[in-house]
Amino acid sequence: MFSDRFRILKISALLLFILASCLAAQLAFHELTLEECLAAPAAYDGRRVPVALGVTLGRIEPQRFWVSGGPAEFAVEVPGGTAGLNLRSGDFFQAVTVFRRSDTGGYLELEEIRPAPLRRLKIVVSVLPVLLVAVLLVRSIRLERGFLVLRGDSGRKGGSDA
Amino acid sequence: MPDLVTHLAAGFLSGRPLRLARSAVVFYLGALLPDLLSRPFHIPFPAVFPATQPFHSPFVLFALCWLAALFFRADQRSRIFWLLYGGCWTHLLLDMLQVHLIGGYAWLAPFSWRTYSIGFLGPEDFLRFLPLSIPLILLAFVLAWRRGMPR
Repeated sequence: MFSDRFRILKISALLLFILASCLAAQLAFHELTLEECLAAPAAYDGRRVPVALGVTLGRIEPQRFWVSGGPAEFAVEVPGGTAGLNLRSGDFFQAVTVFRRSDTGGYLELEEIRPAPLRRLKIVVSVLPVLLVAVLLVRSIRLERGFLVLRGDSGRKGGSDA
Repeated sequence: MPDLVTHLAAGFLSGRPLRLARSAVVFYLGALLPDLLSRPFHIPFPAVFPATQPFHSPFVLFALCWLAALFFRADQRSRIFWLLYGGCWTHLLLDMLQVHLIGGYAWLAPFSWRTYSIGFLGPEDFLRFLPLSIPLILLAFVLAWRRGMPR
């Protein structure tokens, strides 16, 4: 598994497997969008439409909120009203909505929403561990005759540095 | 997914009993690896989020850690692989605790795209542990730095 025998072949096969997995995932994970629903309102009436992936809350109105950050801004109707949902313009969020057909085409109606007001903080604090590990890696790993070598690790003798 | 401070702190705590010493940094890298390979892509480009999902699958991570190990000197490859893959598992288990409104993690990718989650902690709940997890990762850094001193 780890020998130099067929090393290039192993590297190529593993790369291919990983890339193919990513490509297959991109094709397999399809979620219904408002645009698709509006293209055929009768076919999608009552279907669930997730609203997530990098979108933020736009204007908050008493009976609806606007979704920003996507290709185009659109509204989500909130049957019970937006008061009490703790929505704040600019926050990231995830929501499950239902497409409803109307005379003008259709609209999304909120089923459940989860605001993520701390998502930016999460992204910012995540930089620190990346920097710490990067510094340690630069310090711990060196290049030796074309291979990476972990300093102070005795390889098969294993654990002698513990 | 929890923040990376929580993931590194979890990697540090779970790596302590293993007495990893100088190779602890590889275990720590494994604890961050699934997000390091996905977040830099899907945060600025949300449309590619599905393509990054396999980096939270034990099967794809197995291949990835094996691939990474092959770039190391032959006598260190096995150890590098297990350290990286072990670190990845701490990440996957922590992610599994997260509740998802939409989807979850495709643990069986690329063989199945069904998503799974135990789900009792919100994605931002882990930030409450920052006052504890930040000192922990700084301690992990100091200990790993001192052990990396050339002799």
